[in-house]
Amino acid sequence: MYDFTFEITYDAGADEYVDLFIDRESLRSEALFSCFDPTELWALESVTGDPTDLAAVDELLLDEAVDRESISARACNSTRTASLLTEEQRRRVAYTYISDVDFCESVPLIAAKYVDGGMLLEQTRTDDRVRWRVLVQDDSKIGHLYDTLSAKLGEGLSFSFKHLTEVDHWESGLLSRADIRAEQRETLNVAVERGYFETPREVTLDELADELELPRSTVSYRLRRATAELATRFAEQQL
Amino acid sequence: MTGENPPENGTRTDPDASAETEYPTDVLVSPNWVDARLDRFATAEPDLRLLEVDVNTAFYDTGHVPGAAGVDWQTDLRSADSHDILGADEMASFLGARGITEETTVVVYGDNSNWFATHLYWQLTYYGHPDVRIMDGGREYWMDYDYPTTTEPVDPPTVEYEGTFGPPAKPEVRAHREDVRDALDTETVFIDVRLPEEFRGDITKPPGSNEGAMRGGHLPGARNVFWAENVRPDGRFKSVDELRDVYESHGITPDDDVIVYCRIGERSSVTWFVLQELLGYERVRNYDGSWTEWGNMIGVPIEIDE
Repeated sequence: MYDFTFEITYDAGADEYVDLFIDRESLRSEALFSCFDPTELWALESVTGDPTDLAAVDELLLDEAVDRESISARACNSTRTASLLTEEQRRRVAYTYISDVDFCESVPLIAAKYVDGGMLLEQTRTDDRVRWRVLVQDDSKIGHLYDTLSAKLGEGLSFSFKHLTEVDHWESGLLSRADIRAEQRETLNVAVERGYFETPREVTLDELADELELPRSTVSYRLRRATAELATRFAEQQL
Repeated sequence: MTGENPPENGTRTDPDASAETEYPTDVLVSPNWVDARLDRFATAEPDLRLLEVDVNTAFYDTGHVPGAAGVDWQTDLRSADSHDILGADEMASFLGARGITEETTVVVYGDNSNWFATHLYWQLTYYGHPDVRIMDGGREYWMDYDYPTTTEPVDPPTVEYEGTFGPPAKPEVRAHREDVRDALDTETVFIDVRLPEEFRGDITKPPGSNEGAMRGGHLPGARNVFWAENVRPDGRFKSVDELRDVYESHGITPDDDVIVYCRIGERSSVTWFVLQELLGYERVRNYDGSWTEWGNMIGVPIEIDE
């Protein structure tokens, strides 16, 4: 499998949806797209951020009239349906389905004209940048795709190629897992449940140790290892 | 002119009628113009022929304009015995095999807003075929706005092309490497139509392609005017006023001596077509060797900057 990664940078005012991310530093979006031919498209987008910033996203995320897909000055001529799958204090997950496409100059649908048999795409939005990772089985059409995509960009958008490589690792927020040892997971779960991470703490390390019937130093060590592992993994995903 | 203009049937509503007739139809015809003549391209009479030439050669078989014969640039438009465009005799037999005589009106269109269509147009101008035209918007516009298509192959009867192409009728539309070298440090304006990241030398070939150069950068003094600045979001050419603004904002005027280039000379054909045929610039040459030649040559200067 090949990974064709590029970035599109937006000037402020060029795209209503990207403007939200430019104006609100806490916002970050990760999305997965699937597309088999140039007539329909599925997207699962997870947006995280501060609650007040997320409130600003809500309106656009589900507004079926808002074109978050087109990269050209020409809006998509297609049918869009959107639904909210997750609504948490710091996270939204929206599902969007684009169908009946007459034309839609979005990255996945342009790519589907060139790549036969479908592909997966990952998209990350922060600030003024949208990073695309196109995953294809065969890289023979990537040169065409590069030339075509870069020429479609509307006013205020600029294109920057990052890499074309065989896929050798995966750091996706949507497909990540909390990859920590079972005993660390158990300790962490009990700590969260008892309010160890609340401010102020609702339980002490000694009380946790008693409950888990473990030495205090073991509980302390497992919590530190678990949080270190998760924090590192979280930071890597922001790259 | 052999391609007389029967009245259009007027059944289709164009989403933006403003561009319909702005340019002379002897160089640029609208999709409606083609739509009104669909029954005339694949007949035994060689008056009108329609050719589709795509960068992505897989497109033609998935559907094309009824009556359009497919041209594969990788096999049909390259000389058999040199790394070059078709030779004079090769061009005559290429045309004859597609039912084209020296009397035929040839309409060409293709993907990516007519990259290779304008390249073929440029070659036919160079050799001196009397009547060749581009279909505005190319393949994508035709597909996007639901004009009729077919997957039926089109194979017009072979004819003898009686005209002769040796020597080329208009050598002045082509720049060779010697011409480019001679134009260095002169008033000649070089227009590099590639992406800024190609112009700067950040990349020397598109990802996944082996069509590249050893060195990145551009011709000394070249101005970077991306080819896509010639077209609207729907793929048709911008209006005369908009196109004039594009070039005048880069300080390029109709009396300049201009050489255009890109990577292999096809994107630059779009800009050549715009300057020479749509805006009437006096002297525009396409350097078809382009960066795959210059960026690989020994002993020539290049520039790398922002």
